[in-house]
Amino acid sequence: MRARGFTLMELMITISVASIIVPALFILLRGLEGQHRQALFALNGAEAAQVVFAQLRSDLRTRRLTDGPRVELRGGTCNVQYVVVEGTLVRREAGNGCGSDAPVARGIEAFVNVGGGLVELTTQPEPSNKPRIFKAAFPAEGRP
Amino acid sequence: MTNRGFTLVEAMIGVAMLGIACVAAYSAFDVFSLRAIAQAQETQAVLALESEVEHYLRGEGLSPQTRTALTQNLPGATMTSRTQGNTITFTLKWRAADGRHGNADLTVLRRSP
Repeated sequence: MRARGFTLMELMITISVASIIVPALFILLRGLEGQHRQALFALNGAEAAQVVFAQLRSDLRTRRLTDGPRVELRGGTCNVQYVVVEGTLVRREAGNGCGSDAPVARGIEAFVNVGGGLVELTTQPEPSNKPRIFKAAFPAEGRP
Repeated sequence: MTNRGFTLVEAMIGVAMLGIACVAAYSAFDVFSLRAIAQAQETQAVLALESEVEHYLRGEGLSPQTRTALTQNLPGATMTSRTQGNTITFTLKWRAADGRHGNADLTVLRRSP
């Protein structure tokens, strides 16, 4: 058996090819990671929007939205207020014998009553993503 | 046993296969990512449809500004309604992020006059 090392030419070719492939793979993997984050961000936002608006719709069966940018509902046994605390949307009941705070969804930046029955949910942005905004409108019976 | 390295052709075939596998993985992931964004669009479409139907059932129309706001993130969104017997179907169509045609509809009993 004849054993020999690499020639200079073979080494140079190998290093040249590797210097093209390795950065290309690195860029590709970074792109994949970014896409993965974006996909998860979109899916989490969609899930949060479904939960939040279902809860709000349920609350509006017996209550009415108040004026102003905050999502506050009056009526029923307990008044309800939605507040964002450290990225978590919390449903807060006020009144005698009413329940305590209950988290509704995470990864929320803002939940705002835009006016005219339109309510906007903004999901928390990540470094590589813009915030995603979900909107729903509620009829006059559910607003002041 | 012969002990020799790869020939240039073998190495090129190997690199080409690796490249094809990477491109395939990337495009598959791209599709996954776009589908996720399309899913978020679909959620907004359902919220818009529910808003439309709720207003219809209470005898109120959505204002054009509100309708525009609801469909802002749905490119090429068009809302139509079709009456059939005692039901009415609201349909929302848009261009989804993954290139497909987004379509959501909601059928309810017609409001009594």
